[in-house]
Amino acid sequence: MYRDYTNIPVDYINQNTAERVIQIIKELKPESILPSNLFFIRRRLSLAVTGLQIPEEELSNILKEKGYELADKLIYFLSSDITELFRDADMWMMLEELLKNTYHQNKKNLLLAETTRGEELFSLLILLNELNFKDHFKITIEGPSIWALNQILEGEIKNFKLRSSLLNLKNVLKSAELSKYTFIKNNAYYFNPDYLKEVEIENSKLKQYDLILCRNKVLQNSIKDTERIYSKCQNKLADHGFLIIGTAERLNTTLFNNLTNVFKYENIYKKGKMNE
Amino acid sequence: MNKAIVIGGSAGSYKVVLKLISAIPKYMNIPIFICLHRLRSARSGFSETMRAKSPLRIIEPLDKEVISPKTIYVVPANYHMYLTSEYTIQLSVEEEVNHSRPSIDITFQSASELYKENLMGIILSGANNDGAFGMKKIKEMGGITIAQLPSECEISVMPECCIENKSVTRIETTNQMIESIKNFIF
Repeated sequence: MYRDYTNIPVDYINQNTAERVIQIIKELKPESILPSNLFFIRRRLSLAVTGLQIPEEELSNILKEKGYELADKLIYFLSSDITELFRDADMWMMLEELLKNTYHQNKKNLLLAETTRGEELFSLLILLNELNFKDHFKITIEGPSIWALNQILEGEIKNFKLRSSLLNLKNVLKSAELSKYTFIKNNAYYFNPDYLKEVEIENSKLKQYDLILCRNKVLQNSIKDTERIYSKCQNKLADHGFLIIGTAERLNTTLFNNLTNVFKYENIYKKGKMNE
Repeated sequence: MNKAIVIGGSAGSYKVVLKLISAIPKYMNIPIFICLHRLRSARSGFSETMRAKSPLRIIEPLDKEVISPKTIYVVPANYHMYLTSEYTIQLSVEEEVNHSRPSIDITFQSASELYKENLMGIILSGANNDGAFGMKKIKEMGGITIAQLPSECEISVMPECCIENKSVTRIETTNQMIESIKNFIF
């Protein structure tokens, strides 16, 4: 089902097809926040029809027939289906420093927001285990596709970029061995279920978190939808909690005036004033 | 009329880019987008060196930044860069394209859809075919496509792929490209 896309030029599905598909997805899942860039959508849907082996011309009809389930899968494809552990190694080293300096007692709640792939979760679990912080956090994941979240907790590492992941891991955690955390079954890579069993899918909108990771999750969303997602993160963040976004993202602190940029790290924000 | 220039390159292209941008007058009034293959972890130093060579505004854009004329945008490390129909920049962390992130193809193709015949695409020295598809799209949309003269390149694979797929309007030396850029801008 999954192919290596790195050396295949991607054809783009017809613009009318793409617009129709997005419209149907919105009808089926009105709460979904979808990408806003049509060029990007056409590219991602091209990959979706390839990965799901659906002829482009039949996509709209099949979507209307299969409804919610296929819409859920297409939402997954509208992000990306590769897994590269410890992508942006510098960010992970920064997170390691933050964890060591900040979270050293009592169990804290951690949320991975807008999750569609497992790479953040798997990387985080490795990091926490290697730092002996595994029991310090209760990890929750939430995202636009329930299908994707369940897939992640089943542990399959989709389209695993093994070589990049190994290099990244060595940069971040020199002595960590990937083989401790992954195994191969039926020609697919899986994450060790022992580390996944405590992770839960969010089931309460009222829960508050001490640390929220929302890195590179709003890149293809409109400004309005981006603000909705960050507003959600702000509301879920406990006082003095930290929100981490992507290195090329910035949060409008005039709009989200309860979040303060942490001076040393441009993409980390704390809830409440800096001297509190 | 909205005009723009997109420049792509890999191994051996950085010094050419420095030469190109140092020759562009400070009263340039169109955006220029530069997509160079670069080390993922090298987040600083890349565009800083460019700024030392030019009085122009040179930045690595943040996601959703509005495209401004008189600005040179350098794609940040480990992101793809799209240009949107609202004239903003959208970054992406999708899988590599042509083993590259940033991919020249992605930037060139989205630029071709936005600027159409008002776009100049320049492909420089490099060791793979990233950008060949993008140059073809630029040409199909009526834009001008220029490949660096292969014999001048440190590694000529990238421009040669574009020449081979017939997506190139002109093949030029660095000095000729400087004149083409100036003529296009003004």
